[in-house]
Amino acid sequence: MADYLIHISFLVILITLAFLVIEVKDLLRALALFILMSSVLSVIFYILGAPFIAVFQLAIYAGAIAVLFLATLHTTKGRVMSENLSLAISLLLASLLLIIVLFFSINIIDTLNVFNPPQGYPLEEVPFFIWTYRGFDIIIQGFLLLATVTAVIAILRKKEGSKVAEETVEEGVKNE
Amino acid sequence: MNELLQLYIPASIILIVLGLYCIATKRDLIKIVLGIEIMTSGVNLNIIAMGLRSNGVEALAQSIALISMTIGACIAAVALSIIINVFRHYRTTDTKELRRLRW
Repeated sequence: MADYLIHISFLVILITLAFLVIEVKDLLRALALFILMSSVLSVIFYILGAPFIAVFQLAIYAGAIAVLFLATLHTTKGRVMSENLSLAISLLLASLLLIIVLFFSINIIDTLNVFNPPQGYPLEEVPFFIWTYRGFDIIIQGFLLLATVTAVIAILRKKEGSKVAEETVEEGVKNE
Repeated sequence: MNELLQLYIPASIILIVLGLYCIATKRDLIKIVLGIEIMTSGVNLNIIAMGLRSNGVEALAQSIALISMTIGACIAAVALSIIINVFRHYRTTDTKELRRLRW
């Protein structure tokens, strides 16, 4: 019953954070809440017995994607970090504190023997399974990442040609 | 395990519905991409919950969740670069403004 309550409490926190991400007006606060949400989801994956997925969730969602969002916010909404520097630092510290508290809460649960996380497959079995049976998936993921990088470069590159064309059109209009 | 499945499947459905709600109702493009990411998180939770067995999570479910995460990250990267491009053209990320400014 106790482990069931732990699962429910983590899920309630997760759904509340997701709702707050959607409803908070300030985008920087929404992003900080999204990082917290990803961290809580990572803890859920860990207690379900999938430590690999927990690590990837933390690295990709709370790390890489959050940095991409921050860069986009910086580009589109002005200098968010310099204007809201104190807010950003306090949110970062709060999220770090929450992650530490969540980490130790798992340890406390372990020591109190309230909840035993499932033993799961041995840690080496997941990479072994992926390399042995899902090799094509790894290759496809590599191609996917390559395609994404190419697409991002193509979208973000300066369009010199179109600028020249616009200038010639403007000159033509002036001449008329 | 069945009890946990009954707990996690509705939770993942709630996350997916929250993401859909965000995509349908919000006007800022960055918020919409956040909604897509919440949806992807819900899908990942669903995959892991489906692979839940008495001795842990199946390796197949974990590998599929890994692929789903990679695809989610790629979607976010491309979508955010498109948002930056849109901002360069129109100086706004509000979808209502964008609709007004179309050529």
